[in-house]
Amino acid sequence: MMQLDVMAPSLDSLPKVFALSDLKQLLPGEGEQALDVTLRWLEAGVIRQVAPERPVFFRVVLGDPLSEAEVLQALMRTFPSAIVVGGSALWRQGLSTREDNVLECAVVESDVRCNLSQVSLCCRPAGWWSVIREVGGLSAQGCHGAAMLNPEVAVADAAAFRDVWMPDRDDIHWDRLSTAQLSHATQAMLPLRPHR
Amino acid sequence: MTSPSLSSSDSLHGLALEAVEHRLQALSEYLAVYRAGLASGAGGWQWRQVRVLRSDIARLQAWWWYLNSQQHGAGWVLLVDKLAGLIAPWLPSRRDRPRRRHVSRTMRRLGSHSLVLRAYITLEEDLQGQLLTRRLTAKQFPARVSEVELARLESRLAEAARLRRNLLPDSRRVAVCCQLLRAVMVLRQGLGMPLPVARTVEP
Repeated sequence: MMQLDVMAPSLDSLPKVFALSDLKQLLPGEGEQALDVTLRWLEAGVIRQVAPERPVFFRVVLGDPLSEAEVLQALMRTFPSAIVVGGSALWRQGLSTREDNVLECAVVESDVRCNLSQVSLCCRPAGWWSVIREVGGLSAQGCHGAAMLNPEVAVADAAAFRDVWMPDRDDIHWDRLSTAQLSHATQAMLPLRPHR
Repeated sequence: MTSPSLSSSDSLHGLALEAVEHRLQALSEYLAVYRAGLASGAGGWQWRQVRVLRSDIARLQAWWWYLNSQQHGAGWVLLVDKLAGLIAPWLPSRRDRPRRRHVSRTMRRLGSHSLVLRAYITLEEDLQGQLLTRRLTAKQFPARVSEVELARLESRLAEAARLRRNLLPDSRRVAVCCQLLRAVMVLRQGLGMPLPVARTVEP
């Protein structure tokens, strides 16, 4: 244990979001030490897993929460299919007057548990990403390097799945949405709509 | 009844297939997002990313086909092994080749050996992530995690480490295998024959 303490790198030497592989780079050996050090940090509550069972972690610093860029970086490392959707996509593109409380993201995994309090994940079926491609549904600028739905597709997706937060109708700048694109996206989403 | 060594080899084979399938799933997800970005007019530098991902997926599919056929005892695997053994010594080793320059913001193009090795390492790290969650739960709520469950996970992790350390052939052999089978897959696709593909959810 004494030896482990001497060898353990300082948590401050790691970025706020890091993977087990990053820690292994700093420690000698085959990775057992990295596992022990990580478990001790997890027990102490100074780091958390981004999602249960995933080898990606974020540092918990009181009074210094993760920035949006760091949250999205953590999400992209944990969920390769993550796309910003719903009211979060509208707010970030200036199409809504109401800011979101949590970042709404869609992923392909059915297990949508996530330890980032700023994020809410929803599951989208296989085929949804193809539809997004067909309708050209991603915003060209993205969001801190992450993919984000364009406003018309965000509205069509929220209407089809009804599982993401959206602002009230009066809070959306409808005059800035393309009716043709909205209609096209709504039609494309129809076959994917869950049966209720 | 199978001998212990045979069943251990079977389980390692299964783990190798699982590792390749997991990696294929992750790469397919990245590809789906990049392709959607391209279709929506996102930055042109993503073209290179898409090309690299497609090449990685094709080579991993080829390796999956090789492993899967080996597990099912297909006769042609021996032929491929012999062919790889003959061709591999003529290929320059990766250390002899000059390093390619990589444009910043673009993905690194990995050799076939590194690609497969990364798949094995990723599975090992996924298992470590699972083990960390279970060990933490066991410390905080001992009744929720059984010793048997922990032992099973630790044993799988040990097998994954063995797989990474000992069970990947020489890098040139892996490269020949992947390129050869990839070419066969392209040919089969061209002839309209069914493709042997790994079980992944196409996003």
